[in-house]
Amino acid sequence: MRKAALNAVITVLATMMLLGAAAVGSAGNYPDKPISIVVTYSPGGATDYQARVATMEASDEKYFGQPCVIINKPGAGGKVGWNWFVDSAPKDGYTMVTYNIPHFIAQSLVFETHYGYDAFEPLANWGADPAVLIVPQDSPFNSIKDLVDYAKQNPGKVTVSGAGLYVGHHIALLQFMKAAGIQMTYIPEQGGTDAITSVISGKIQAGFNNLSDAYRNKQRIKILGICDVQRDKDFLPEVPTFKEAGYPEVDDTSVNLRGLAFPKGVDPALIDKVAATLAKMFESKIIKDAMFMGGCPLKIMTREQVIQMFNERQKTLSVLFPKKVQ
Amino acid sequence: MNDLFQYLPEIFTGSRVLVLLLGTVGGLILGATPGLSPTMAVALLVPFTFHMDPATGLVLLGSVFTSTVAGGSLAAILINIPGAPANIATTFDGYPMAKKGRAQEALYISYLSSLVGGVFGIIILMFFTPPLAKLAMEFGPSEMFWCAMFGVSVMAGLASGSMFKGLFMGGVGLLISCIGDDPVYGVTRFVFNDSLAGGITEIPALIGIFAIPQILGMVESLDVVLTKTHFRPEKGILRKVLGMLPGLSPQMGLGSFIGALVGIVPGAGGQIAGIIAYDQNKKFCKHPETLGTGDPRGVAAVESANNAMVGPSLIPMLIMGIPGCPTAAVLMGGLLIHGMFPGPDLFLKHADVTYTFFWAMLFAQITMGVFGLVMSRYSYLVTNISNLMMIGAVMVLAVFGTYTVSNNFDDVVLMFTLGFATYIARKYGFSAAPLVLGIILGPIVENNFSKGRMIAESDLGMFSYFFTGTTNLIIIGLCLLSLGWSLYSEVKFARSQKKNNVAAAPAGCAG
Amino acid sequence: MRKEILVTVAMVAFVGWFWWMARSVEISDSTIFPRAVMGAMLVMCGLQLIQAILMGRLGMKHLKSVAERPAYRKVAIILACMVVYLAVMEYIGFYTSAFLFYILTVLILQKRAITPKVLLVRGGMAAGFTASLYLLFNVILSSQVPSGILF
Repeated sequence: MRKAALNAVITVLATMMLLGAAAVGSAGNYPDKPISIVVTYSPGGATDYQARVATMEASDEKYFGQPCVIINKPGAGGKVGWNWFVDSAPKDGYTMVTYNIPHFIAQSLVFETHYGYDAFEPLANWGADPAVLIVPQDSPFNSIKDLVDYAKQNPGKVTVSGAGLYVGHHIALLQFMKAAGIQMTYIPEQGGTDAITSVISGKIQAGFNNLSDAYRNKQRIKILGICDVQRDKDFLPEVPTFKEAGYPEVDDTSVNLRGLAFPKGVDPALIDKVAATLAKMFESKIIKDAMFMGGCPLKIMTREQVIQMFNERQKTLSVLFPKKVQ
Repeated sequence: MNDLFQYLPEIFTGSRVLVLLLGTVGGLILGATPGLSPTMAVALLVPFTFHMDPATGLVLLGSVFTSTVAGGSLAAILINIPGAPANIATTFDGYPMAKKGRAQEALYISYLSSLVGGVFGIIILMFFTPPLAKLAMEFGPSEMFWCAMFGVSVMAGLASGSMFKGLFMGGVGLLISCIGDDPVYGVTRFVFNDSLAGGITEIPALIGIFAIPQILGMVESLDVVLTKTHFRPEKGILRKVLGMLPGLSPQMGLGSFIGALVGIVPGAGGQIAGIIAYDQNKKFCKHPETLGTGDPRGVAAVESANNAMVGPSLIPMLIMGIPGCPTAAVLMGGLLIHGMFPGPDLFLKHADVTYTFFWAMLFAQITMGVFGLVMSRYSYLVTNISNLMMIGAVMVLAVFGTYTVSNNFDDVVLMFTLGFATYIARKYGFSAAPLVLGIILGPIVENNFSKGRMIAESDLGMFSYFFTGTTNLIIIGLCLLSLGWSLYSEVKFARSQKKNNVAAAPAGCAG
Repeated sequence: MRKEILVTVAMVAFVGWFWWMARSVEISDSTIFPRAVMGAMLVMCGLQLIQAILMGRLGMKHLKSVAERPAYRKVAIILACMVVYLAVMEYIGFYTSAFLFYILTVLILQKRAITPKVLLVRGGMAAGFTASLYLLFNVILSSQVPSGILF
């Protein structure tokens, strides 16, 4: 037995040396290998799907000349992935993460996370999915006003679904209840699809959901309002904003914005270069068309715009979710 | 109806046949690898379909979905590790058969039952989509809660050895599935170590609980095996199995029916189709005592059920956009990418694509069956690998499979820890299958209970929300029936035990 | 009988541990389901205890495990190997560690003497196995497996 063990150790050392010699480090122009994109949700979800579409042109010589590889690190509503990213993502510029505004900022306010609104180096934003207020097809509510009137008389009786806790839908509801001075019951579902399902089947009286999902199910639900500063011209031009309905406090804070970010500590020159390339890539016609086909509204923002937007959201959300006393 | 046949030739145009064959064979291999579940395989392939025309893309996704579900039985039978959650119950009888040198037979039965169940499911999908789609709408939190409770009632039947210990393990599964964030109330629970922040997820737990005890069991018995049995490919087994088919038809019928039913129910229902079919078969068949010791009937019931789930799980997705199982949810992404939104439009505006997809699913079932049978002929290559060679290989595969699920090293450590704990627990008579079932069902039971409670308190009150309504009452009735039958057969079993004056409960090694 | 009673004590201790952790959950509604499960588990503990005592009274014995004299020493060695494997794999890379772990387990467990020829054969097998892993995970599934300091 002892002899066997000794032999084994020798084998291990020999192979390690052999393999060590074979591993060669090469330095070249960025990027010289595929770029990893960490998606903090499971494959098949909206963020994963959009990230795959948004980066499918990366291997074109015009942009990176290297493909982007999606790595899913799901768990605890994105917390696992984002925690991992700020703690241990390599800072060589080959690892990016997708962010979800306002979800990750709200999370960082409510939970003890390793990240906050300023933990990443944002690069560029590709999509904006505003929350819309939906009710079942056969619902007695035909406008925001109907719903508010009913909720005023029956506090807490209206059930409202959304894609989970502290996501845009939840925030939209909180803003709406505050603005209208009403009380409703929020039912957090496992995801956008589940949330819209419960409204279609009439199990729940109302819901906040993604514009893109609501648009796809247009025949089976009624869309009462959109939580944004202006109407959506491409998909739902006939749906009024909450501001038009008399609730200007329900602004664009709940709009679900998605984009890419680096961890802190990446070479600043590289950050600027990649941010510019990404913004250019998202503008390409192929990606725009593919996004439109999937019903995903685009909103391309540059690094500066995203940083400004992060700061604004942090301000509004910290009013909505006052930090717990530790 | 005419539309349906009109689009039959579409499947044979262009590269579609090639895509279908590649998808099926690749799917069989991917499905056999522990950790690579059908959901993951389809999710990984969706981006490839960006560049295909819609019909071809869906042919690929459909054939991979079909064959990964069937492929999982290969690992379940040959190495006692389910390739995917759907194949948990395949290990109960499949592996004992393989141990007795009947691996090839077990595989033949598995693929033929998959074929029967799969074709049954697709036929339901082809002809009954519109009427059945409405059924999915009946399922809200209260109905889902009772459905999951039905799954919980199955636990008692899964425990080999002591029933109390088995149910306790089921409780452990339900309890540890609570670790992590509560998705409804938004608080963190039971996270006693930072690496548990993401909770205990299904697939790492499944791999650990089955693979680690299996590996350690191999190490234990390395010295015991004195005469090495050498399996050869035998002739005439296919004929033998075909001759067995009429005898297995009740199991296949029951399995197909249960699988199709579970498939239509939205949510994670598909994962437990196999287990429910196994349990029900145990209750209805004659001589249930041979089940679990390498009974072909067990394999037939499970494999027909998990493949029958495939077709119907797409029904609510196609019409309502409500996925019947996690894989169907991912498949929906493959539709959206080509601008095809779920709804009646699929059958009017995009009829060409939809019907081609249906035909592709049907042909994929058949190719899957044929290739599965061919592959089974070479199963002796795996059974002949000595345990010595398997130990390292299975461990490495388990590690890789676990890691790729969510690219998280913590999952690998968790997989190993859970597996080791299961190994110890099994030494003291606790069976592993209820534990896995608990981990799978825990979130479904709890989320739907919490959500239902919130809805109930906003309006009707708990009792009238959970205990009224036709669907609720039907499911509750089924739960009670299943439980009552379990108790009855337990008492009957105890009596016959007494009569035989056997001093001990059978300590099973199958669980 | 004593063994079975000890098992029951361990079962109760497990439930107690979770009960203790449940106290620190901030929203008590969130502990309804876990507490219900724990209650059911305690009932099972009670029934298990009764069964153990009854069986002890009647002088019944639980069936012994099937394998005769399991090789626990080897199990312990392999477990140690696994722990080392998991500890180092993130640093030296998934493929390298898989290759080494495979060779190591075979060499430790086999009864044959280690000759250069045996080493070569085992090394070749391990290399083939690692190569097929690479093909499956990196090439076909294009998943990024950490590479560490080595390959």
